[in-house]
Amino acid sequence: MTGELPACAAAGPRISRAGGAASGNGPVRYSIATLVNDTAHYEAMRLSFRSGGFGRDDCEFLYIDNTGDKQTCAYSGLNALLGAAAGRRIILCHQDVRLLTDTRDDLDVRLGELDRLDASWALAGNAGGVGPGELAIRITDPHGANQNVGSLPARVASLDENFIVVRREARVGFSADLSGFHFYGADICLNADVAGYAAYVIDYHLAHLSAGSKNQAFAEMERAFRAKWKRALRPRWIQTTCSLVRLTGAPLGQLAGRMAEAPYGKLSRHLPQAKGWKAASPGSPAGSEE
Amino acid sequence: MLDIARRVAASAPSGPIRFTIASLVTDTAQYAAMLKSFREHGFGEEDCEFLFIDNSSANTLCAYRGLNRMLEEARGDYVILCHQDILLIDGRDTMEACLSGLEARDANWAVAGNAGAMGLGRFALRISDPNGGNRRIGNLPEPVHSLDENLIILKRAAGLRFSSDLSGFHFYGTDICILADVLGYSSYVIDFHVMHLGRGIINEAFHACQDNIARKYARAFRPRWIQTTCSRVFVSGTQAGHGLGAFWHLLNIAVPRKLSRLAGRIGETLNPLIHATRD
Repeated sequence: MTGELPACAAAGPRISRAGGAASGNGPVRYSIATLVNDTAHYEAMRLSFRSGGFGRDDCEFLYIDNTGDKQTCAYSGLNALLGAAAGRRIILCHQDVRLLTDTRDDLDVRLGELDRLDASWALAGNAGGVGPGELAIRITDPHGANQNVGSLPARVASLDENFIVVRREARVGFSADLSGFHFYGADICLNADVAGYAAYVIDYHLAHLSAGSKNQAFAEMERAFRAKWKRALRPRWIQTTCSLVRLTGAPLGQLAGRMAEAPYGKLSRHLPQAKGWKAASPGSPAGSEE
Repeated sequence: MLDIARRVAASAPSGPIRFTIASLVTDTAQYAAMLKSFREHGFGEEDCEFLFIDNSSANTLCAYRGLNRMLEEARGDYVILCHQDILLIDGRDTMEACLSGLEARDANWAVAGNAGAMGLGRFALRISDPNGGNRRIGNLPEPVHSLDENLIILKRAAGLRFSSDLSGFHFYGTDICILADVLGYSSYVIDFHVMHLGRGIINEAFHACQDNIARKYARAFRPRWIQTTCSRVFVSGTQAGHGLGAFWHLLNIAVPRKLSRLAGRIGETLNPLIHATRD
C-alpha cells in the first residue's frame, strides 16, 4: 500500500495508517477504519473516499492487515481501530464500498441533521433494521441500485456492517466476548442502546460491491450472539456498598424486585458473608454504623 | 480553575502516559492534599497526568457527564477516577503489582477498585475510612458486580464510558461495572489500600438515583427483536424469553434454512438423472 507507515503503538492487533497521518494542523475530523484482506479493493475504496472529499488535511485512514494467515476478527479488530482513531467521527467500513455521488459534504450535512434531531445519537449507517420485518436502506449493491427504503433518518436496532459512523464522544464499542465477522453491527447497536445512545440509518448513498453471504459461520455466530445477549440482559440483584437494587427488563420481575428490595437489603446485611461490613441505613451517612 | 484543566509538566513527559488521575473537585484544599498524596506515593508528572472538573462554585457537570468528559481527554493506559477526599496509603508499586497480577489472572478485566460487592451481602474491600481503619474483606482480588466510587481504575483500552442516560452523583460505580459486564469485561476489588475521608450521604438524591438506575436498566435489559438486514433474532435475558426466541428461530429460520439446503441438494442429485432420462 502506498505511503504505509509503521504500525501505531497499540495493544492487540497491528494497526497501520494508510497514506500517512492527516497532514493538517487541526483536529482530525474523520478516521476511516477498515479490516483489509484485499489490498486492491482497499486502494480503490481509499481512492473513492479521497475523490469524495475525505482529504489528507483532516482525515486519517487506518487499517488492520488481514491479507495473511493471521486473521483479526471484526470485534477485536474494530475495537482496536476505535481505540487508535483520532477523528471526531470514525467511519468503520468494508474495503468493498465505493462513494458514488454523495460526498463528504453530504455526510457532514446528514450528521449535522442527526445532531439536531437527536443529541444522543452514537451510530449512523446506510442500512439497518427498524423492527421485525422493517428495514431502512440507502444503498446500491448487488440486490439493486439506488435502494431507498424507509423514512430517513430512521432510528434502528441494528446496522449493516458495510458502513457505520461512530460518534467519538459516545465511544461505544463491540463486545469483548464475541468474535467473528457477523452480527457486529447489531452488537454495537445493542451496546449503544444499553449505554443510552441511539443508532440511525441516514440518507447517505454509496455502493457496496458484495451482497453478503450466509454460511455455516453465520449460523454459528447467530447462536453465539443470542447466547451472549441472553447473559448480558439477564435480570440481576446488584449489591452495592450501601444498597441493594434489582435490575430486570421483565415487567413482572421489576414489580417483584421492588417489593423484595427492602427485606432482601436488610437480610443481606446480616448474612454471614457480610461480616465485617458496616452497612448504611436510610437517612444516615453511607457506610455508618446501624 | 477552568472547567477542564490539564496539568502540564515543565518538560514534556519522557514516555507515554501510564496513569491518568481524574477527579471532580468541589474543595480545592482537599484536592490539593489528594494530589500531594499521589505524587508522594510515586504518581509523578513524568508519566502521569492529573485531570479535574471544577465543581467548586457550582456543579458544572455531574459524575456521569464529568467523568465521561475526562475519560475522553485521558491519555493514560489506566485511568484512576477518584474522590478528592482520598489519601493513598499504598504506593504506586503496589498499584502496579495489583494491576499486573490482575492482568495475569484475568486479561479481560476492565474495572478495578478498592470496595465493592458481588452478590447478596457479599462485600470486598480494602480501605480505611470513618467506619474503621485498615479494613480488608474478601480474598483479594475479588470479582465484583459493583464498585464504590471513592476509587475506580479503568483499563483505558477497553473504552468504557458511563451511561449517557443517567445523571447525578450516585450509582456510577455500579453503572460502569454493569456496562463492563454487558460488553464482556470483568470488574474486581484489588488489594490497594487508601484512606477515604468521607462516608457519603444517603439522602433523597441517593434514592432518586437508585430509582433512576432501576428504571434505566429495566429499559436497557428489555427483551427485543433485532431485525438485521439479513436475519431476525430475538434476544432476552430471561430463560422463558430466550426459549421462546429459540423456538421461533427454529420454526422460522433454522428449519426452513435446512429444508432449503436439503431441497437444493436433492435438486442437484436429481437434475442430472432427469436430464439423462430425457436424453
